[in-house]
Amino acid sequence: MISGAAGAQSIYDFWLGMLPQVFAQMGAAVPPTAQSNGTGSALPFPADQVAKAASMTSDALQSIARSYAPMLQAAGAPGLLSQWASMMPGLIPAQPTAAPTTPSAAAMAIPWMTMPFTPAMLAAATGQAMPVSPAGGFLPLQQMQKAWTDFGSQMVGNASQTYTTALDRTFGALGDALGLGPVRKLQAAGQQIMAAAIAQNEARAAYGMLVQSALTAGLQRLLKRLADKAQANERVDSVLALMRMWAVATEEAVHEVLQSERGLEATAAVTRAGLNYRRQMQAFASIIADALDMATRRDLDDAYREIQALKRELRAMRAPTAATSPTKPRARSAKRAGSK
Amino acid sequence: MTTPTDNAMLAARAAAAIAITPVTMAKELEDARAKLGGGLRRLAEISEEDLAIATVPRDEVWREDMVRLYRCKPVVDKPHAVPVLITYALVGRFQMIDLEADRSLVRKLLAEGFDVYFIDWGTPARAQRWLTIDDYVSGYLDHCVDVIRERSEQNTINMLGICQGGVFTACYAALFPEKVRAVAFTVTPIDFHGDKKDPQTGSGYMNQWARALTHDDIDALVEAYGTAPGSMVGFAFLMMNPVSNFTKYTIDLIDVMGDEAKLLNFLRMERWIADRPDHPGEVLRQWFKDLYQDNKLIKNELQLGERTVDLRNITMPVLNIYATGDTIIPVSCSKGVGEYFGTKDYTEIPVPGGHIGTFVGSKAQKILAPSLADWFKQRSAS
Repeated sequence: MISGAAGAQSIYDFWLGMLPQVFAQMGAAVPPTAQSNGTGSALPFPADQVAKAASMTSDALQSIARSYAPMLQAAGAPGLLSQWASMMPGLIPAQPTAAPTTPSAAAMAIPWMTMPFTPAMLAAATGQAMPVSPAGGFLPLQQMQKAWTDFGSQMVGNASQTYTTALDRTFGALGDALGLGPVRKLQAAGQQIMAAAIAQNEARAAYGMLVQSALTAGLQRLLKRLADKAQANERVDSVLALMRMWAVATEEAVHEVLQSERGLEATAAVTRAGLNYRRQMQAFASIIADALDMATRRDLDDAYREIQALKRELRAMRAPTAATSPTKPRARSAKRAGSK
Repeated sequence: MTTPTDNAMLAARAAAAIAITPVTMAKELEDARAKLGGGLRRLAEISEEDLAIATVPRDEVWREDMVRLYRCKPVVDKPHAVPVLITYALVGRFQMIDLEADRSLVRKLLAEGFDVYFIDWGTPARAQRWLTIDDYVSGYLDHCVDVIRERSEQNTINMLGICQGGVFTACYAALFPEKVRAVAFTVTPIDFHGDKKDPQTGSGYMNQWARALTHDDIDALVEAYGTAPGSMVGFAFLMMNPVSNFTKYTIDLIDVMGDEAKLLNFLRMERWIADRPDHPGEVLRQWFKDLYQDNKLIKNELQLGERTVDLRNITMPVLNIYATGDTIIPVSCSKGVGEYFGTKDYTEIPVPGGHIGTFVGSKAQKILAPSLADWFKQRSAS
């Protein structure tokens, strides 16, 4: 029924995985049970996916009701806005009078959207895991950057070079001598993969910073609109309406940032990095396939290319259909195999 | 520059607009949860049949590789003599033209007495990575047109191209004008750099993304993927509006799940959105390099096989329908492009709504099918 069922599932997995993180930014927790309780698993696609989303939303709303009530009681609207603003470092100075944020919200130092567009689609298409914290949320941005920098220096820095050279001397030459395959080539390809992975994550991190700035701008835009409403003696008396206002304001900011010159540059950079990573992986796999005398991706592509060229030749050999008579064009296609 | 103190003052002024109390909030969220609960119970009763899309009765009349040509069963005794061939894009499935019985372009055209054919491009696999735009236009599409010409005993037929399928249709009409009576485009990019003249935030992101890349980047993309996964294309569309897609799967669900008709509409649309075929790499290469990056269509420089697509060869009547709220194909890419065609009979019609809303939106539906029907009837009579 669905041509790319696995692909469709991956898109839903991505979105549904994001929901708890977005709700966390609003101070709502979605219990792990709600995320994985198999809600709707017996339903036809995509009712099953929508059921999961609805269950998570219901739980999140309940959590919001519980966490916002004391906040509103104690600090009123400033407390609520403070809750949201606490997710945007530097936007508003700490307010001692405001109610404390929930632990889950405070843990969300990096916004849910640090992986939009290209990074997300490349990651989904390649089946790569996105960097996540042990708790399941995204790692804080600085922590993530540091982790990758450290990882890089460990794996491709001077120390690793010494290590791999020694490894190569000990096992590489031996492996080659015994006909065990191109060990040196694989080692080099492995290093290329490491370097590409690091570059990809650096590009993702830079992109994430950009999105972070968009989220901050979005919240600021929301505050301005609310201030304008207050000045016009208008009021917002609905939490859901407030959330929708936030969504509209943030979407606008995200569009502005991603469509700016630096946004497009960052997107292009993350695209290049993702493609390079994939190609390095393919190169690695190709070395192994060659060594085992298996058909490589290129072998298959060459065969498919030849088949397609032959099909084109066949098409060119068919007599062109001329508009021979005003009412009866010369039959052509129906005589071919496959016509009905 | 805004300081944290400025922001704090702004937040204080903003807080004055919020009149949410613990009591009103509790009631609102409880009501919302009740609607979601009711929706979950409705979901539990939904069957596969309820979610079926593109159910118009039809016969397969031709096939080659993964491509199928269907003829919809006419609903009048004597349909108009000149058939209409609908060509959809490769990036989605044809089901959009017949999503639901009451939101179906195909059924409306059938009701107007037309003999309607449409192409299902199928699901290209890895073996199809070398298919080019020329293979689609001069190969599959030309075969389909010939089959229809023969079946209908007409020298020329009417063509209706949608989005990317509109570009294929334009190429076809330019290369094979002798087989086309009249051609209609809907939400079709003709000037791929049109957005430069009228940049709009939130619109034309794909145009900008493609231009931010180099030719080498596109080559690398095609080399890395061969056939571009449908999920990648799907993500590209969804992430154009990441925040809206969050609300779509959360707080917007509250209203959707509280109404059975809305829920079924939503689920059927989701089913269509999720169904993204893989995209042949060579088509992708040409699509991005020659069209998005180099804008060769309006320059009459687009090379298909050994021939050049010259839009001035499109001398038959042209109807161009664009969506006023289209952010995927910016209005400026499809509006006001009559000067590029060779025809003296050029008509433009705006429809309200977005790219897909053109086919399923309640306002757009009142304009789209009737306009197409009237226009084709007038051009088919002579």
